[in-house]
Amino acid sequence: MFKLINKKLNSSDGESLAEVLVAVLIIAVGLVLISTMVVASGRLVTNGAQKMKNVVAASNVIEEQGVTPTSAQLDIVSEKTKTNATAIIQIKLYKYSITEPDVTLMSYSRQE
Amino acid sequence: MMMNRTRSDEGATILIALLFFLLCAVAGSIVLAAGTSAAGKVSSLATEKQSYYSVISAAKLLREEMDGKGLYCYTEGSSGDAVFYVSPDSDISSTLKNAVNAVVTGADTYEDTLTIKTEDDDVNKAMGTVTGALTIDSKYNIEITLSSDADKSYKCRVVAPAVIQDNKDKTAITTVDADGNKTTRNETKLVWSGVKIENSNE
Repeated sequence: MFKLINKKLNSSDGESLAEVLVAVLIIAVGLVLISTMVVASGRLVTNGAQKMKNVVAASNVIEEQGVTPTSAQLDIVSEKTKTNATAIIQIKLYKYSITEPDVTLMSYSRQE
Repeated sequence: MMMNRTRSDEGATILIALLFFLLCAVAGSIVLAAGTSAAGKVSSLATEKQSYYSVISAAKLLREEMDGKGLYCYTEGSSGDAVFYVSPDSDISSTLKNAVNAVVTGADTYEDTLTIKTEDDDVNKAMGTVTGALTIDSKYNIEITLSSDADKSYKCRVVAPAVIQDNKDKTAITTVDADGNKTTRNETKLVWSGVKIENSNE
């Protein structure tokens, strides 16, 4: 194989039609693959940017507790007293969701 | 050989063109793969944020449950559990009492694991279960290291320093009953004050 490539590089002969066709085929396949990757990467970057935007927006809402909380119950279970819930605490649950792409963030605080 | 080829006026072969194309394709693919991988990391951003909120919510709640809370207990004789005159006014009172009881009755340290989750399975799935490793030392200082099972990238510590008002070794009250039997009562009175949340990420 190496011998053949060496011979080919040192040769001053022209290329045959078959060689040109094979080379064009290889280049075409390569171009298709690369262009697919470029398009896919572009889409991924766009989606990533939108997702980051949604995460930041949801995060702002959660940080400021700018959403009406719902009541929920929190269990704190101690491993040493596994049989029973150590503590049952009423909490205010803050939940905020954004779509496309879906991002949901939640936090809670103790109910007064 | 390649130098001769570049100086030659016989025209470039398709083979050289193909090799050059291959080189460019490989370099381009590496650049694209790196970019794709960096963009892909954004997808885990929401999970990491949620993990932070789950852990910090639990930490704030535990801080409220311990800050300014105190207890008053005693042990009689050399064995037996502590009797609590005053229990901590907290929802995690039983955990705090277990921890203090262990130290009062002779343990150098006491360790426990707390599992913190809501009653709603959907919420738990989204928020992840928070686990807290509780340690109390011989001075009754409590430290709880919290992390989320969903994503362990964020951890924080709730540190509750104890202010001891009466220590079992110092406050020993001996009483004598009508039959002349002596009973020694060791009292412990403490309060957890200045509870703070520390970031424990390395």
